[in-house]
This record gives sequence, structure tokens and C-alpha cells, in this order.
Amino acid sequence: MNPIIQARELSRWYGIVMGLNNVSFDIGPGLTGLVGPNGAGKSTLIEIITGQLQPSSGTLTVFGEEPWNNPRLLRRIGYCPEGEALPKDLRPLDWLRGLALLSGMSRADAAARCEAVLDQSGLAREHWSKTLGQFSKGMKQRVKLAQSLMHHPDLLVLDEPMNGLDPMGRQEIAQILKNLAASGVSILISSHILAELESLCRNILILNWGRILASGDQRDIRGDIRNWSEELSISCDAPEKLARHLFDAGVLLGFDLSSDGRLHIRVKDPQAFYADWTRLLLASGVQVHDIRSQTRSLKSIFEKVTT
Amino acid sequence: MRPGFLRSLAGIWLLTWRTEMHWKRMLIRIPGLFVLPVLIFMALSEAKVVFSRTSQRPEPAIVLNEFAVRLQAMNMPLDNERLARLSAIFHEEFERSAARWRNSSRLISAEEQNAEMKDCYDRIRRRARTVLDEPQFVQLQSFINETSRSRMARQPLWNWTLPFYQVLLNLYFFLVLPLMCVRAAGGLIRDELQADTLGFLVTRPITRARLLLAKYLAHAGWMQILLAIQTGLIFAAAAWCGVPGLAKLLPLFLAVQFLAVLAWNALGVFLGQLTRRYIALALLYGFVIEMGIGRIPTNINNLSLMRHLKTLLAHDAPLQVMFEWSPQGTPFSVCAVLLAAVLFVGLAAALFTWFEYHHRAEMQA
Repeated sequence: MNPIIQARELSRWYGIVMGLNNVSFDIGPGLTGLVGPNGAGKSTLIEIITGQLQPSSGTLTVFGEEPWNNPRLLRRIGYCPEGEALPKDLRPLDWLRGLALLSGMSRADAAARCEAVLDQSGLAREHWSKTLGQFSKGMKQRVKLAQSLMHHPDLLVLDEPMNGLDPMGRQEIAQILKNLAASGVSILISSHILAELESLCRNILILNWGRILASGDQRDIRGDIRNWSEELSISCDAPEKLARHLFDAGVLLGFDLSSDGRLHIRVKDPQAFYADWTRLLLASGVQVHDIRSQTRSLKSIFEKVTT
Repeated sequence: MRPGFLRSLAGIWLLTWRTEMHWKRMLIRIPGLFVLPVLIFMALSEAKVVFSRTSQRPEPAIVLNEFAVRLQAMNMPLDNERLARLSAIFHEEFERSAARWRNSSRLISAEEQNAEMKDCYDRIRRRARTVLDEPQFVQLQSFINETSRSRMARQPLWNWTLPFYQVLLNLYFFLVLPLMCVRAAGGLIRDELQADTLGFLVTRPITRARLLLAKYLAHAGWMQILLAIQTGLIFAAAAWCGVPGLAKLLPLFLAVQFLAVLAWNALGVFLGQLTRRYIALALLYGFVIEMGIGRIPTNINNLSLMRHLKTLLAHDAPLQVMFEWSPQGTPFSVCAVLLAAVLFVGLAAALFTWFEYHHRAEMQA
């Protein structure tokens, strides 16, 4: 399958500060998460993809074309920026109508489409008569999302779209994005809320210090990480006995007993442990109530690759 | 979806006028429109009083009375019929001179005033010959010679409408209007940058050059409406005060203002693309080009926009005389102003296409 976004030896400097450092990657269709700490280069990458910045060296193409000053390509891209800045004196419908006309819609289509995307983004109609300056952070996020959907883009680029949303709002937005992805829209989403990205995106791109640290399927990335130690939390009848047994079996790197009686263990070789753990637990003679992995999350992957 | 330029312009126009028509802006803008008209009203009201006070034309009744007293002292009194006829002559000739000054739209020097009074007395002398007998006429000639010498004008006489033209042109047209246009147009992209809203516009399916052109045209259109209203209010204040010739001047003034707004907005857009400190650059431009090079009496002064605007305004006769402007080369001046507008906008569009104008860089600058 042809990649939607392709970067080859892409670099971007701000004076002597390196924003992106010789990165190469492919992003395919579907939902892709862009992960990285502050200053990693996520916004820089997003702004190059959306044609707001030019690479200092290397190339980046979207749908096979370079984005800078490319209206034909920009017609296929929807962009939702991170910042909260909106024209504070305008009402949402007026602003969206202006942007719709600027995007090439007729007046009639613009009017209908503006209402449709505002409904789709979940902004309650009672707020439509207010000016954007009177909106809360969450309401602004919804309007920004609405403007990115105006012209039916093939690629949606979202920079921290969940900022300012309550958990229910985040769920709503996540569902919107899933629906869009199901309808064929490719989505690149940058977020610090790793738990949301984890459930939303199978493919991720991890950035730090302007470099790509990992990219691809989350499961594949996890498998590629060497010396991956697994942390487990076990609720059982005799935690000390179980800990001693597992330690004697040579599978533990360490363990801990928490105040709630749970046993927290770190295993050396997760694959080997999981292959043999039923036998180990039976042989211990301890009754186990539940067992949870602490390190199968995107957060743990992120922490692993960025340290 | 292939956005034509007109549709893009419609979008930007919607965003522009909706923003400008916000009630908070109107609250400041509407009273602001009345500042200059009130200033003109106050200036002209005072001007009328000062004009009448500084007018050094003597009162005909006083002059005639002095002559009559002189004849009485020399036992050559005027009878009632001769007095009445002489009074009519004095009033008619003095009024004829005053009307000429009243309708002039420029400063009248002391020499001109004295020359006019001499003509006035000559006319009185000629007409009085048929009214007075020989001894009385000899006394009249002697009286007129003495009166002319004692009542000579020593200062220029300025027309009371002069303050209106000075406010209209020197203050409004050549200072306030250019500054307003440059300040507003210079911020077309800069203000969006600083507000971090430019991203919403440059990610639309439109080239950067077209985006800038659409913003320029929409903004220039808004300024045309605003400044046409301002000009209308200024002229209304002047008409209220009785300034003559406004019906002839207004259409010309609006036409020249239309060109001026296009040019000054274009300059503002270009300077705004060059630097964040575009106001300072505009002031430098004003001093060097407009007030410096524009005043050199050779072809190099064609670089000055004001010089061309003055050429266009010189088609109004009072302005031509008052400010000594020449209407020669009108087609060239029209082309020069339009060319300047096209050039500035073109350069601005080129800069906007080549350079990124990024919010982060703007805030760090």
C-alpha cells in the first residue's frame, strides 16, 4: 500500500536549533499517532506536512506531492492546530462560512456544511450565537475540529485535539475520528494523552529531540525493544511464598509488596515467563486471584524508547 | 473543489467586515469619525470671527462721515440729496471690493489690499464728479489721498475658509489617511501571525499570493467605505459652516481618495511583509520619499505618491490657487499611483510566497 506521507532525510532548523534531525518515515492510511515530549519536533513535523513550513533539507511528500504553497494538495488536507487562538469577535458560523468560501464552497453549500460539521464536532447549538472569544477551551477545540472537516479532506492532521476536553468529550472526539477513519479518511493525530492514542491508533510514530525513535505497529515496536522487562501485579493468598518460589526459579529481576497486599514483580524474560508461568504458579501452590501487566501500555513503550 | 479567486475574496471579505463590524470596534470607530468634522466646525467658526476682525477694509459710513465733517468745517456742507447719492456710491464701491476679497480662496497680500482700495477710491472719485461741485470735489481728492495713506494695509488678509482646506488636506488627506491605511494594511498578515490564526488561512486550498491579494482587496474595500464616510462627514461639517464650492470639490476628492487608499494600503501591505516594525519604516518612507525626494523640483519627485495625488487634486481651481499645484500630467499621475499599488502588492505577494512568516519566529523576534 502506498504511503500517504513520506519523509526522506528530512531536517528542519530554526537558526541553530534543530527541529527535526534527518528523519525518514512512511505513514500509511488509517489512524496514526504522533507521540513525543514537548520540544520533540511534533508540531514542526505537522507544520511541514500541512504546508506551513518548508524543510531545511530532505523531502516530505503527502499523497506524492510537496505541501508548500500547493493548493491542489491542501484541498485534500484538513488541519486542526494545537493553539487556542481563534478570531475572538466572530461567531462560529460566520468564521466557518468564511473559511468554507475560502476553500471553494458555494454560499449555499457553505451554509449547510458549517452546520453539519458543528453538529458533528458536538458543539451544542445553544453556543452558536456566542462569539469565539466567549468559548471555553473545549468548545474552541470542537470548532477547530469542525473547520478541519469543512472541505471533506482525505487526510486529517490533528495537533493535540483532545486538549481541554473532559473525558466524555474525549470519548466523543475519539468516536468521531474512528468513524472518519472507517469512512476512509487517514488521520495523523498528535497527543500527550497516551492512553487515548493507545486505544485509537495501532500505528504510532515516536519522536524525541527531532529524531524518530520508533515507528510502526505498537505491538511490533514492543517486540523490537530489547531487554524489555515486564512488570506484573499479582493478587494472591501468600505473596511472600509466591515471590520466594519465583525468585528461586530464576525468573525475577525484583519484587515488591504493596500496602494493599499485592505482589509486584519484574520478570527478566517476559516471553519465557509467559510460556512457563502456568506451571510456575501451579508449582508454587499459591492461589492466585488476578494478575495484571503494568508495561503493556503505550506509556511504557514511550518511556522505554525515550530513556 | 477548485476555489475561484472571487469566491476566496468573498470568504475573506466576510471574515473582514464581520470582524470590523463588531460592536466593540464600532463603539470606538463611530465617535472617532466625528473628531475631524468637529475640529473643522470649531476651526471655521473661529475663522469667521477672526476674518471679520482682521479685515482692514474701512467702513464706508465712517469714511463718508469724516469727509462730510471736513466739508462742514470748510463751510461747504453737503445737502441731503448729495449726501444720499455720495453715501450710495461709497457703499456700492466698498462692497464691490469686499465681495472680491470674500470670494477669493487664498491669502490676500497687503499690496493687493492697498491696490484694491486704490481702485475703489478711484471709482468713487469718478462717480462723485457728477455729484459734487468743483470745490467739494477738490476737497474729496485731497481727503482720499490722506485717507489712503493713513489706512494702508500692512498685513495679509486670509480667507476664512482656509482652515477647512488645511485640515482637509494637510491633516486628513496627507497625514491621517496614509497613516490609517498603512497601519491597518501592515497588520494584515502580522496581526494574524501574532494572534496565531494564520495557520487557518494558509492551510486552505489557495496559493499564498492569492490569499494575500484577497486580504488586501477586502481590507482596501473596507477602508474605502470607512474613509468615504469620514470624508462625507468632513464635507458636511464644512457645508454646515457655509464653505462654498464643496459640491464641485467632493466628487474629485472622493475619486482621488479612492486611488490614494489603494496605494497607501498597498504600501502598508508591502512594509508589513518586510518587517514587524512597519510603522517605523512607513515614517522613514514618509520623511525620505514624500517630504524629501517628493519636493525636489526634478523628475525624481515622481517617486512620491503625494506629488501625484496633488496633481490630481489640482483640478479643483481653489486648491490649485491656494496651494500652487499644477494639474499637468494627470494621466501619468493616475498611472503612477495605480502602478505603485500594483508593484507594492506584487512585492508583498512575492515575499509572502517565498518566506514562511511563522508564529514562533514572530513571537521570538
